[in-house]
Amino acid sequence: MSGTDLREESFAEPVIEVSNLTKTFGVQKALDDICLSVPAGAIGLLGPNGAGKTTFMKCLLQLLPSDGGTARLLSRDLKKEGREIRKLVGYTPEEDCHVPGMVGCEYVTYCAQLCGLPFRAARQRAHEMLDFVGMGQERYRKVETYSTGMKQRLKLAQAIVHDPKIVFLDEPTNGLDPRGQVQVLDLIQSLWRRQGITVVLSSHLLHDVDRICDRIIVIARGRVLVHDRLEALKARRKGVVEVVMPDGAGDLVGACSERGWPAELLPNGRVRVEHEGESLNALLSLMRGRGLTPIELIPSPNALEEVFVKALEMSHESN
Amino acid sequence: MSQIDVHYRHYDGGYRGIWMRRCTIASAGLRSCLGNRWMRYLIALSWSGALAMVGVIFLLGQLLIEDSIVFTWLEELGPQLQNFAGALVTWLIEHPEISVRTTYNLLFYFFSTMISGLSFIAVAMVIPHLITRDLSSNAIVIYASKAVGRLDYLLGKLGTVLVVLCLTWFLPLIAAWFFGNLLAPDWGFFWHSRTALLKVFLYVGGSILFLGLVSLGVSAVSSKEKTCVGLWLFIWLFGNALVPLSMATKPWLKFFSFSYNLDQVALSVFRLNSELELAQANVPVLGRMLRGISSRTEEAWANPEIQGALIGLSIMILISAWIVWIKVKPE
Repeated sequence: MSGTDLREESFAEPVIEVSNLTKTFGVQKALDDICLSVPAGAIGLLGPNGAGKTTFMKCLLQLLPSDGGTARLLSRDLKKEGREIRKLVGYTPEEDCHVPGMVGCEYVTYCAQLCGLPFRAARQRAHEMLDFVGMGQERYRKVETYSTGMKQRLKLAQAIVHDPKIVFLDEPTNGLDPRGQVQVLDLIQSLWRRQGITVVLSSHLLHDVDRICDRIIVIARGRVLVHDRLEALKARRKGVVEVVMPDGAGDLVGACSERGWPAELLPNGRVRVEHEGESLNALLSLMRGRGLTPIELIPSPNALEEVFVKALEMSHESN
Repeated sequence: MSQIDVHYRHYDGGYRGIWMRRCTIASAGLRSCLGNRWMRYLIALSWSGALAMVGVIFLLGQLLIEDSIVFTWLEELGPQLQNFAGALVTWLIEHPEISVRTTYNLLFYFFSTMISGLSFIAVAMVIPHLITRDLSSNAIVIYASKAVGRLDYLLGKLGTVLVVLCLTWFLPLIAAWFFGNLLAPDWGFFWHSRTALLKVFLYVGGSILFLGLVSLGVSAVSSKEKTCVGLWLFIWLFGNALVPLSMATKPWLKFFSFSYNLDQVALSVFRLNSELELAQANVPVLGRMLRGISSRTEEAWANPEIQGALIGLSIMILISAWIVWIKVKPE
């Protein structure tokens, strides 16, 4: 079946369906009876190092055989249609991977051909994708000579060159400088928001996931601890807000304390307020009444971090 | 310009089938191999061997032309060669089908075993381009994440080594057959040499397939190029060293040499002994010319140890398949 047929399928259908997925390495359970049903979107796969994120992705890509359970990707059975499904799946591994001796554009063209694109179309798309990831003339250099940042961009280009429906990205910002991180995250974000390509982003960097994902899966010790929309996770922490003030931060702390809302001045100059309200209206009224004008309000600022830490604690307790 | 402003276009074209994807892997490997200039020199050397064979066939054909300059040369080279040519001409004229077949069988045997060594060297040069470099650069993960399975990958890599071996071994012989016959004075040479050609297909085709399968295993042994190439040279040269050693110790040791085993297959396929006997019966001077050959060699030609050779080759293929199965995985 061609990729265009699959593209017409509804977004409402789950793109990843996993039932009792298990994988062990010796006595260590890397994946412990995982059950999931995930719709299309920008999905963040969070967990500490060694949690099982990469193993989970590799099992879905059939890079590793699972020991038990079933998995469906894009509503298709992995075991029966693995090779054809991979036409519609992109993957950027965490480690450096390239075909030796090839220059950048040749490598990306080759990757497109491996997914079935005819040579001319593959070459054209390779150049388009290299433009998309922001690579210039360095595409004509051998991949072995690339810097870490270039390699990350190249990995992203090879993952999307065949226009997949879902892309698995394993720590795609590793080794990038802050500017490079922002650029790569922008590109990844645009894949889902502008192109409708489902992104599964595996990372231990909460900031990356918070920035671009709308759905979170937290994995630890091979188990799924949390799976929910990011909004829903943040809603659990309603009532906490960080306020960026141009000046008068101390006045805000005093005003909140008078109102009975715990408030503290953070080392970064922001004021953290626990206002106990469903919305920010009460806090805004208070500030207006005191003549305080904020630069920025950040609701539920550390929701993801707290969920993550709480999930890990739960995991430790259960063991 | 922000990078995300660069246009992303969805692909709405068609996809090619799995055989084209396998060919893509094979052609990428081939490009990588031919990028090595020593490989190109080696191929050129093989084709110069083919050119020599064309020359021999051409000279053979010239014997059928009465006033050919070849007779003048033979007169200058001595009476023994002149007698040889005279007897050969008589045989060619009286029994063209048998004589051409026999002559071609002998020619193909000697040329195919002679240039086989070049193919063994070619394998040593191809091995790093097969699986070794993919293991060291982690490219194996990239292949596994694309729309090709492990079998597709291996078939592609096998395609690479088969094409290289065709360039160094199989195609030169086929070209020599074709152009040699094209230069012959009688079109009947094409027809009369058909069984010799079939034997080339059988022996060289089988040998190439064997070498291809074994080279995959050797290539998968390690991610270090020197280790894999060293292993191949060890298997080849140490195997050859075992052949004389086996005569004084255990006779089965010689079957550890793949070149010995392939030679036994060649002797069996081309029926060297019976063809030589037939040739000696019709060209008596040939018997005198071959008198210098040792009785041990004659015995070896007469009784090729085909069963032991086939078992030896099969065991090597099985070991190679086992190594590939264990080592060629993304993890």
